[in-house]
Amino acid sequence: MRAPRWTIGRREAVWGFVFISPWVLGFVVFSLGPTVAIIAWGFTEYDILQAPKFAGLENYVEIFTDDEKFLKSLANTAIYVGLLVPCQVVIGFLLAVLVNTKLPLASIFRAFYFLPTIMPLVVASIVWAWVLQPELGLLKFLLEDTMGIPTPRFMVDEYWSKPGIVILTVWSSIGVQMILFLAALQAVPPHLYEAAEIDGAGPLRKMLHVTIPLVSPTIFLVIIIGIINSFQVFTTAFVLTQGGPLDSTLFYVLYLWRKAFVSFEFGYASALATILFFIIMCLTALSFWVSRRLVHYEQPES
Amino acid sequence: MIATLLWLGLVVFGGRAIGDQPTPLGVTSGELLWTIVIAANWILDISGLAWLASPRIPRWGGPRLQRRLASAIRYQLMIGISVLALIPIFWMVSTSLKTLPETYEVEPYLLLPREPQWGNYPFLFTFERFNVLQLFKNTSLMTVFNLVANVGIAAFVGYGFARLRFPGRNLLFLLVLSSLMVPFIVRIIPLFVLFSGNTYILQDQLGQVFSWTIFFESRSWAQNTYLPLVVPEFFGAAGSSALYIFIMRQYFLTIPHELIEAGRVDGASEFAIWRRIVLPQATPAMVAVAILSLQGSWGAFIEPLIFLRKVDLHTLSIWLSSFRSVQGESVIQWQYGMAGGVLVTLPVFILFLLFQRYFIAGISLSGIKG
Amino acid sequence: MSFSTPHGSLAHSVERMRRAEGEVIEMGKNSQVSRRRLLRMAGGLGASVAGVAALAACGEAEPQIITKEVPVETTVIKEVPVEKIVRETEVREVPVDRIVTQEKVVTQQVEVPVERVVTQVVEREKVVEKVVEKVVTREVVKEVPAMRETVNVRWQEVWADAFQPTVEEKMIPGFEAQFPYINIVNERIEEAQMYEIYLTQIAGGDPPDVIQIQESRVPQFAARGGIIPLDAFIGKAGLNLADIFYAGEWPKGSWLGVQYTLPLDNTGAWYLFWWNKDTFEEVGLDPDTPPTTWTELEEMALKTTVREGGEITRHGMFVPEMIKGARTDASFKGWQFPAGGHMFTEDAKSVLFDDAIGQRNVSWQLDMVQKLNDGWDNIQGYMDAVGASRTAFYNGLLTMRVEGVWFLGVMRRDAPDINAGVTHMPYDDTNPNARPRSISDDGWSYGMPKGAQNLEEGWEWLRYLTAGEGNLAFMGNLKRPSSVPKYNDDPLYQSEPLWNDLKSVLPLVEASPITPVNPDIDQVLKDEMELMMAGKQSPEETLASMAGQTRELLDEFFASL
Repeated sequence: MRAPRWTIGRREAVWGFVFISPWVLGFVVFSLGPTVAIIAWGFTEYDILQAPKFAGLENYVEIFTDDEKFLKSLANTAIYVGLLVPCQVVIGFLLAVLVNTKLPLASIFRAFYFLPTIMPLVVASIVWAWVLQPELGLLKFLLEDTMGIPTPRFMVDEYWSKPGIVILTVWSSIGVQMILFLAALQAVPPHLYEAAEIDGAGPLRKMLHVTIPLVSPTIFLVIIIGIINSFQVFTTAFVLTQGGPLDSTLFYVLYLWRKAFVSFEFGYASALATILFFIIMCLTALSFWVSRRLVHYEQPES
Repeated sequence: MIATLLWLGLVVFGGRAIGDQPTPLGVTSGELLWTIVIAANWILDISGLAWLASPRIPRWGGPRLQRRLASAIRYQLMIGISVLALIPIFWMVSTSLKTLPETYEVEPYLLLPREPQWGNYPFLFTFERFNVLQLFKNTSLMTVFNLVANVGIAAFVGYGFARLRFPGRNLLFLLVLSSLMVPFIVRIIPLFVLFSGNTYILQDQLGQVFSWTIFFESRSWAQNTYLPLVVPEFFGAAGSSALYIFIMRQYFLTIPHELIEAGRVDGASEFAIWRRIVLPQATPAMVAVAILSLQGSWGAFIEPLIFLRKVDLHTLSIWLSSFRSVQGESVIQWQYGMAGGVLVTLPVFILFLLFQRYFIAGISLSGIKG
Repeated sequence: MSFSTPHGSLAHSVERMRRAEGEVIEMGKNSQVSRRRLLRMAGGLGASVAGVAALAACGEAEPQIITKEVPVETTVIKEVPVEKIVRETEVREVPVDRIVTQEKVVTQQVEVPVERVVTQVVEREKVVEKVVEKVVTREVVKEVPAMRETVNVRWQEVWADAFQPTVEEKMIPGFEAQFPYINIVNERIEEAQMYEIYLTQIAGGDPPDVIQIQESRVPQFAARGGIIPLDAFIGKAGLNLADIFYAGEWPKGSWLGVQYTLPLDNTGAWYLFWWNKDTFEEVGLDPDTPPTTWTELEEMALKTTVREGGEITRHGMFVPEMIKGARTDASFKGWQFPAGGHMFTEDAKSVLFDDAIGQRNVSWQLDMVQKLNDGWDNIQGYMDAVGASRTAFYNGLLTMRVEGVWFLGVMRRDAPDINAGVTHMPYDDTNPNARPRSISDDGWSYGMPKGAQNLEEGWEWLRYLTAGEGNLAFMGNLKRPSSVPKYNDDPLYQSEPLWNDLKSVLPLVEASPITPVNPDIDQVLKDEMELMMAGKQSPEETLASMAGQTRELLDEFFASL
């Protein structure tokens, strides 16, 4: 069968649709429905056990006018994202640069840094709970009891609870960012470094002018994924602090979980989820818009 | 390194007594000791490692020594960070070899078991309620299927979004990411309804949002099958598929345009370009996706818990969590939980060691300093 | 054990007998399992065991095997009289229900001899396995059509962890021996996610038949029709709940006078007072005399507190610590009853804790934290998700604490050497009306969720788990008091030295009404108590705020009915 002569652009577009077709199918069959359902349930009074009753904008009105914990949890989450995402980007990138070497044994260290990521979360959270335990923990023992160095009271102090969870999350997920950056570093053509060296660039300038621009797509990726994931932080707080102390780790999804499965207000929780969905969506779209100028892509100008 | 060991030795044997003494410098002995240890650590290690890195140092100075010093610093950093990364791992392994009462001792802190209880490991295989080998099999099968699905679909779809221009591409890509944006704990309800194909229950529910689920009516996927955990992965519609597509897309965007253009000029079809030119370039990203997918499915917890309620079908994560809740009050048999943790972590660790060489395979020496 | 070629058909038939497909795998695991299985098979199919006798006596098996069968045959032959009844059951015209009752008769008669078969099996397991399997198999093929069709009852619970073999060793076989046509499928779920999973399954129209549920959540489910009323079943079975369970236990499973669940454990003992006898002795207190009043508590706690250089190195007591972790909601409720107060009116519509007693309760707790622990900051770190206060108690860093009855088994395992005692919570001696008493407004029970498929069979299992032998098998193994008084006298418990001390506390328990917004109220109590402890509000503000928010929640709910 001979295809008709298409213009280059049209041919490319058709191929594009061919390439994304599996996803389109999966999206329509598996993802679209649940998302639409959540958005729809946001306009109802629904407790899962009984059929939903249409309630118009009632849930939204209550969220925005009469719900202190909504704002509190959103603020908590925003602070958490603000703390976590830069850590992930910077530490992940530095780690990747550090282990991006052929020195002997480097592979062992790569595996060590990835080890916490593969440690099952159930075990990891317990281990960390005991390492950071403010009264009987390992960290307190190693620093305060033997060295006399005061350790922060992670998890139980209103101001140290979020950093505690950030530390745990960085530790247990940094392997992911390290791998992404490692993969990206492989795509940097060596001849660019050679060229820079000929120009007399030192290591710092090579880093700033060659490495960082070329891995900028991955920096962007890590930031977006970081935002998307950390806005939905749930498990760590759920296991370790249950939102305390003084609601300082009451993150958005934890609050939403309480509404859905403790208070049985699933309609309300759906409305909360919809709001979160739009917040993340807007932030992502914004990042895409901003990144157009900052991220270096191998794309023909058109 | 040597100093770190010394310090750990002091901590283990000296206990809290050495930390609290006042010193003439106005800081406590602990702080002073800490500073000295850190400084000594660096000095000793860098010089020592530089020495070790090459047995024959011709003369002080010059580029070769510089390189050696750079390597030494790199080692020093790598070791220092691994201590941070490994402390909790060490704790896990050490606890897995303790007796239960030992795990609760705090004064003095018991860093190592008095007598390693190797029996904790074989004990894990003796539970009648859980056939551990079966759980390993279940988890491995699911992991392998998902790995193949994720790498394949992400590389395929990711290319479409990265290098082929078609109308609405950016909007569609936002839709890809949108599946990551609804918290799983609420999405699970409609998802479960979808897979259980219960159209009758939907009759009285909101406007039959899912009326198209009649396609599944004949067979409920949600009744203890692996289908809900595996099939969506093959269509890029599972929990983290979007992440993998995103990773591949970002990577494809860094592949030089000239390569692809050359293929087009040669008259190759886009599929051939993808298969012959682009994919071979993308090994590191595919390995990254493979590792992440491996780690994700291996550790999956809440999805298997909800879709697979039969004990025979459970995965390792569920098994691990069963050491936690005894008598409904979250009592923890630490030693077995941690031994289980070691067992579950080990296979992925080994696989990672095997996989990760693909990251560095193509690197040239000049890239080291990057 | 392997199904080799001569037994090819055997493997096939055994498989037919397995009423849940997945269980075949387990069968091949080890001989111990298969013996247990055997017992189950033999016991479960009471009629077929009679068939064993019949066939073994006739010697239908292969000659080779017969020679080895001898010891078993003798035992089995004793059962011959039973044979008669089996033949009766084979009459097919009889209505299905009546067949079942007859089978029950068979079971009861046969059960004892079957047990005897097994005790002999232990010595000559290989031989016996072959014999019984061989025969049972043939018989089953004949018997199954005469029986009711097997029903799979899906049972979800959160307690049966890796260390809990009771379920498969005792409970399920014991039950299936009584009800051969019911097959119990145990589906273990996670406690932390249990309601999420229940709701998800109910929404998907795929709920289990029997679920374990906290009594504090029963009204919440009941008010929304999420759980099936049991009154019809209870009536049909002629159960009088007041005769079976502790008076403080069974009403918690009801809502508006309708019974929805039956209790599993005695949970009045959620608030018990534990003390370290060694520490008492060390500081010159009588190790066997715990504090019984708040005054004594303060006195003894101060006496056991050790301060070194301005820091507390051993605490006497964390008064707001209840159960595990920072359950300060529980601390308000837990001390409210010993203080002489109440939580709600009987109809659960109005708040009663907003009075002088409630005020005294709140202020006293804050006062104690200041006096005994030099402030909330010093103890908050112990009230975490991993239960550091338990660890402190084991290590002698904490002398007295309040935790529920489960702590007994936990302590025995975690710190076998500790010398501890248990008694009721100290009461407020400044209030003339206060006396030792304990609140009961939660606990574990079993019910059937909306959409459950097999109600009749599910009910039988539920009844067995709560009012029947299953309760004893489960609770006795955990050394936790049962909701059924007579089971608490069982010899199973007697190995525990503290058992009688603990049992004497159980009559002090009083049920407190549970509201359908109970979890939300708990959250309010917890948040407000925490705010007070952290110095963000006064005790007066705390109580007013707790009462106000609770009223609002209750009014809102009852208005929506």
